[in-house]
Amino acid sequence: MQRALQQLDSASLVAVVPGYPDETRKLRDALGLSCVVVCDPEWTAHGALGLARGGVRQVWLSPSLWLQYARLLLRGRLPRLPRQDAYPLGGVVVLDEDGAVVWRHASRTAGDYAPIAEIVAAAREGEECHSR
Amino acid sequence: MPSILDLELVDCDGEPVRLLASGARLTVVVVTRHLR
Repeated sequence: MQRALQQLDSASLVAVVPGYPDETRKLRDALGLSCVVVCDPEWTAHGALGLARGGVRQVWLSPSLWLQYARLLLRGRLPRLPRQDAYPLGGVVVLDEDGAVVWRHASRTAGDYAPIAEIVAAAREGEECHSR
Repeated sequence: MPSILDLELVDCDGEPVRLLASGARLTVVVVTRHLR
């Protein structure tokens, strides 16, 4: 997504991770993220951005989640049980400079990610609206 | 519930940061579920 958003002149990318600074820094470095990475261990941004909270079905019975776990196992990594609230679902929100929501994808299950092309299209449309 | 503009968050270095700090016309915020 970092690369995809570089095509846009007026959009910046922020990743919000539900962790504390030390662990989030390790994750940022491991993934090679160059965007701002924000720590949100208590999920405060999650609520303010209007994202959803799942139940057992959306979180633990999501086929895409188990697919991700299978990929981890194939790479020799063992999934582990989370030590924090695991029920908030992720998402992507495009905000304008006043903090108004231009576009939002609130994940419906743990493995429900917005397609990158859709995010870029939403940001591009937001850019065009602002330049009119 | 705090508003998006009032959120008090920190970056990976523990420095205070706001979601819209870049001043860009648009900010794409990705909220991950990378759990501890």
